Amino acid sequence: MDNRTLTDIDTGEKSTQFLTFIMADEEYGVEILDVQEIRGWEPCTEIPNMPEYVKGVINLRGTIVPIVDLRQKFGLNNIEYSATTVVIVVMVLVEGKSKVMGLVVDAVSDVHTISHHDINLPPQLGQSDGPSVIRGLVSINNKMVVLLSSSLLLDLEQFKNMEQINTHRTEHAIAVND
Amino acid sequence: MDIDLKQFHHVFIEECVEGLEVMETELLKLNPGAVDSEVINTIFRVAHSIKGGAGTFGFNQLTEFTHVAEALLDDLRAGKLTLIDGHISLFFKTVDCLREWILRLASDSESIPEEAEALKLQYNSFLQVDEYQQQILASNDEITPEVVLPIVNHLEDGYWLINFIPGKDILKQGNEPRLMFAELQDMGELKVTPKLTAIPRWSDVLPEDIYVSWDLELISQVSELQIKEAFEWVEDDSTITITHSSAIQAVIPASCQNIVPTADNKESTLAVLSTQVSPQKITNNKSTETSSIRVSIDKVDALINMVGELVITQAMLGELGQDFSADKLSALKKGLIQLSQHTREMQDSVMKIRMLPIQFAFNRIPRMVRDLSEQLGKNVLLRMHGEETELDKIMLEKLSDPIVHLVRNALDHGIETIEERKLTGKSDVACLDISAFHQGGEIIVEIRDDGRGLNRAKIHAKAIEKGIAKEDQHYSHSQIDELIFAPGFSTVETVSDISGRGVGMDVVKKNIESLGGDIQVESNDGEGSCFSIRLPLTLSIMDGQLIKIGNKTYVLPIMSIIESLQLKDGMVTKLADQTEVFKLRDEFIPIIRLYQVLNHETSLERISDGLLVVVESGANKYGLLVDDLAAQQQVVIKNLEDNFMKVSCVSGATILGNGTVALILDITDIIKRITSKQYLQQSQRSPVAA
Repeated sequence: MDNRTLTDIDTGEKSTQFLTFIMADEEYGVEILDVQEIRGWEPCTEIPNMPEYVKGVINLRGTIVPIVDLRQKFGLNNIEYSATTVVIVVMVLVEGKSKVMGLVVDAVSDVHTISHHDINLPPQLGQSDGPSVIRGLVSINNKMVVLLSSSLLLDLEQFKNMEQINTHRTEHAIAVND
Repeated sequence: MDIDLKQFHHVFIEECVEGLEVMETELLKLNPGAVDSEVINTIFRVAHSIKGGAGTFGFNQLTEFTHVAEALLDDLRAGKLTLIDGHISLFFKTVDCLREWILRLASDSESIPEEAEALKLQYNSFLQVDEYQQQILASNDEITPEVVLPIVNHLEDGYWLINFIPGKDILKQGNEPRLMFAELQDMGELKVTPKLTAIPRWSDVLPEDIYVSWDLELISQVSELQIKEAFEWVEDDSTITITHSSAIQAVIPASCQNIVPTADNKESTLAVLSTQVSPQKITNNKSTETSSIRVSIDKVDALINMVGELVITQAMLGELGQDFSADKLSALKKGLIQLSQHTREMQDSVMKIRMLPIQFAFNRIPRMVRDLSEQLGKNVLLRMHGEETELDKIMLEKLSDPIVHLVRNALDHGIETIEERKLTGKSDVACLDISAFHQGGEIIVEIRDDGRGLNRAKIHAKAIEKGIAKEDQHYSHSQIDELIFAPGFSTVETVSDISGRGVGMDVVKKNIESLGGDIQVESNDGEGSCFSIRLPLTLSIMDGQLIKIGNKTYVLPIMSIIESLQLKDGMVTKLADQTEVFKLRDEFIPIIRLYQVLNHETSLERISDGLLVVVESGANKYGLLVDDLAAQQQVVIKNLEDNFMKVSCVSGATILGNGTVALILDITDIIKRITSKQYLQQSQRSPVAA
């Protein structure tokens, strides 16, 4: 991870670049070095007997890549795919093997360099059994951005914990408002 | 020495594994009556390179261990000792022990196989023994483990005179006499006298050559072997004469006379016997063994040629594109045809790289047959044919264990004991034939024995007892034979060491089916049985039938399709458990509505609107209801697990001509799903009328 960290020459502060995207008017971020590419939404081949958020698989230059609707996965309201609907293709190393997965989000937003000091740890809720996909929370221009861990996003087992994300958001929003 | 040698460990380990395989193959050729010096040389070279490698990487105990083996081989090679059966079985045990050792090294474990020490003692006993004792040993059947001679390591202080004339090049090879002497000095009192007579005139001196020779006097308790060890890296190039004061020599034969099995020796016997367990451990670890692939230079050359042609075609097309006009259309077409041709050829050659001779799966068999037939008191002649038949590497790895299992079965159950064979008028020597060959785009591996054949009465009775077969039903011979592949079937009541390790034939069958293959048995009472495994040539390309379910396209492997037909209304009968069947000639075939299994919408209103694809899975046939059949084409199989996970009912995916993905259906898995309770409940809510 160290080679992904930028160090400010003047202040010595460590920071990482994040790509942010929008879902239901909220902003989320993934580490930019995990992002392989961003594609427009295109219909994909359905996989039978899968939860609804697994949209199917596409052919990405010869590799079969699964597509997951992050909105549906996070339990947000379903919307029609539009012209701005994009697929963020994320690649991470899982147990020494690179895994590629496409995440359907409403739109991509921006790239932010975020200092490690500014990242707040997500509030811990007792019932969580395993690492959360939320890596941290950060305020950019008074707007909250949820930073996601791409390796845990792609870890299929961890998907179960995702439902908690909304609860986390509400809690943090309250904390910020105070 | 700042280089991290660890990064080369896997190379060393791979080399050792390969070397040990060579060693084992060569050992099988050894026979005490007629010694082929070339065979011994090959074995010696393997031992030597393992020792060398171990030394380089600092596995000192491994170096020491291989050194004694090498010393014995050296004596055999030089004719100082005559080869006896005891040597050969000791070498076999060594191979097992080394294999275990290497596996432990591979998993970064520092531990040493327990049997190593016992084997080392045996080596030393062989090395110290003289011709007379050898004959005693040879006449004794149980020999090696029982008779362990005391090692003659603990001599009284001996006076050794060593004359060392180094080869001129040893300094260039990185050998340092000073270090060797230091090693000797550790053994005892050392006196070094350099001889400078051979030094040429200053003008003729080459600074990298060595001109000095030495006389060394060593007073120590060591054996000649240990002294030689100090010189092991230079002994090929240098002249080393080691002489020893005669007073001590008398001690050796004296000590050899104590050939009495003592409690200590018994212990080593146990240790030695325990080595027989290790081959099994190796089987389990097999998957870690080969992570790289060795490709013959011919294949690589063919590929390079192809790439060369491809580059030329690309250049031609590129040039054409720079100033393209309508009159160059025919040239463009020609170029494109060439391009497609080269791409196809290249695909073929790349595929060939993955192909390895089936020999790799056969490698372990001769040794296993040798051990087992000895253990079981059976006389077996093993014949292998078509070892050069090539097979996809992945398949080869997965095929190895089923073949081993079948061979074990044949030896344990199929082939009779010598007495039994004599009674039935067969020759003492049983034949076990293993052959591999191509047949119509498939590879067939046959394991044929001339033993007693399958005992159908026993199989039938057992199957009824286990609830696999029904008592009141009549079974044909081939149906009974098929029963041995049923899950939960095993005729052996007690789990023997040889077969029946809890791995039944159903596992063998499942393994082979997971490779897209099939296994069949043919048996004649009293004449033997033959298991034939059929496998597709490669796992990555297959012939597929595209089918439509609703508006979705899926692929079925053509191999498993028997026929396709359209049913008329009224041909379908519904059984009490909601299963629908139809009669095809004289068989009743259950219908599987694929859209239900896959949870898709369908445009079908009645079964007669769709098509029924009859497929075979195991011995049973099923009719898959699909909306329509589309094209048949070769599909390149892509793995879903690479980026996703194993999906039920689906064995993989492929990319169609229009760039979209189609999933390949896994018929075996679908049928498994159907038979599960969960599905039955779903099917009761079936919306479509028959």
